[in-house]
Amino acid sequence: MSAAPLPITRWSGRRVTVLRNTKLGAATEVATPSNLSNNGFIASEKHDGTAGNHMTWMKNGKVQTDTTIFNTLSPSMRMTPTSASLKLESAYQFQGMKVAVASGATVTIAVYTRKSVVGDGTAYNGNQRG
Amino acid sequence: MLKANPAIGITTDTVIATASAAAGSWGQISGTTAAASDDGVFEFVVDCDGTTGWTNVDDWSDNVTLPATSGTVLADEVTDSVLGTGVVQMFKMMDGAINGTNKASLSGPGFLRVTDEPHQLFYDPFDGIVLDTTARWTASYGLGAALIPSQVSGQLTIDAGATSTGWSSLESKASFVPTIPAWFGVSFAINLTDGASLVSSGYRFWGVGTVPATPTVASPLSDAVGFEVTGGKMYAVVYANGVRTEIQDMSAATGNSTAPTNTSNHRYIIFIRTDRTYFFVDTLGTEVASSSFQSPTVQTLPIRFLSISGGAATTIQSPGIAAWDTGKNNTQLSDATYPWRKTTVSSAGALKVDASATTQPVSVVTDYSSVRAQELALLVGQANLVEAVLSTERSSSGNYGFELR
Repeated sequence: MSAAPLPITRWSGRRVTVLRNTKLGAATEVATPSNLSNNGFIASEKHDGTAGNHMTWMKNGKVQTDTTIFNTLSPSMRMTPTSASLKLESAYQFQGMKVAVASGATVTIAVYTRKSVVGDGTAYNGNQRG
Repeated sequence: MLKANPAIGITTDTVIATASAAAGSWGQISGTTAAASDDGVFEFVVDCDGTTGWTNVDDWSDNVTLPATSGTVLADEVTDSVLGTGVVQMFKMMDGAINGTNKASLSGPGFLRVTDEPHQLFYDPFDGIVLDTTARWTASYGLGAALIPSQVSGQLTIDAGATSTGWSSLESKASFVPTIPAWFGVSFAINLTDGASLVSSGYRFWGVGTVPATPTVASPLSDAVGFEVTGGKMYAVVYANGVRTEIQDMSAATGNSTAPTNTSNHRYIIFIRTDRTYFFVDTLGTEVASSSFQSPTVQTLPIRFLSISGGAATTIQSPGIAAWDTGKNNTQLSDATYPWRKTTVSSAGALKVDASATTQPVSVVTDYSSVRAQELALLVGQANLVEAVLSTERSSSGNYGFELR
């Protein structure tokens, strides 16, 4: 466990860090994730040693499991963006929701989303797309 | 967002749909892609921006059109005497609810397993201001500031008061035995004044069950199946000889988050078979809990509401309750022309005959000392004595006599 934030210096290439069952002790667990490249990320599986708690920092924000707010069954995925103009995506590069298709086929995709309100802790002030 | 994949004709990231649900509410967004230009993989993401708050994402789903030239659909060619020869598609019957996976099944001998619709055995909408303690209920209470169960304006109130140890209970006079192999069910419409934030003290239960002579928070029930509120959380539970088995913690904090969190009316439904109980809230689409071989020691149980105070106001309010089974055990005698006219049976099991007292059992004369020889008398009722006499003595005209006195 480190009491200091995990520092992110400005990286030019794709850098990937995967933490497993690791406790980050600092109040700000990852410093300046905006220094990550567009396709870089820091993933923490079993974050802080808590089973089922997963988190990924990307250039434009963080995604994490959310067992408090979900649609039908816990958990959902919470996306917390940090930029008013740069989009945070729900998965890092090539790891989105994948659907195999044959040539000529179409896919109808659907997903449930929910924007946070003050009652959740903080109201969401951005835009989202599916 | 559909991510670019030039290999199958998607040259740029493409917006498929945009969320429009109000903040704080879940909403489904969906859209359809263009046709893939080759075999491959579509990749989708949700994206968002902003500097405060967050967006939650849940429950992805997709439907893929079957290309005309691939895929196998099982089919069977049949010949119908009217329609001629054709191909019928073979399919499996599945639960139509979103995320439903229950499938219809056939037994070994080939029976399609279906369950009959429920048939009402018991119902009380709590009409009026007087609780029916004649035919339906037994009300009891004790200790502290508890009040006897009461009803007003179509709503039942079980109020244990705000003094610790006070208790109030309403129990159906009839006890119900599981109707194996059918299902016995009970539905409670319930609203809790503390539904938005359940009080942490006291105890509440609704379901079927028996209680000790003086129910307490520590030992509330003897044998029971139903829903309980204790420690500020709601549970699906079974009690066997006083031993509690938690079937499901329904709280959001530590359970499956199926407990209602407001003061509105909600439906709490249990379907009971000896070996299994299903617990539902509001809808029969998906159960919130189910037990398997976790049965009460005594299974013939009355319907019960129970409230025990732990020091804070502890009430249950209900605008109605119904019980049923799926085995047609409520089969009734009714009029052939006016089928809503039903026969009436007393608590002693007596069939009401027109103009007789409802609770008056039929009696048959056993003392024949006053009956003339060669006459058979049948006495029906006592308030309105009717004597039917059949004489076996042939009259002068050659007929046998029958008279009603």
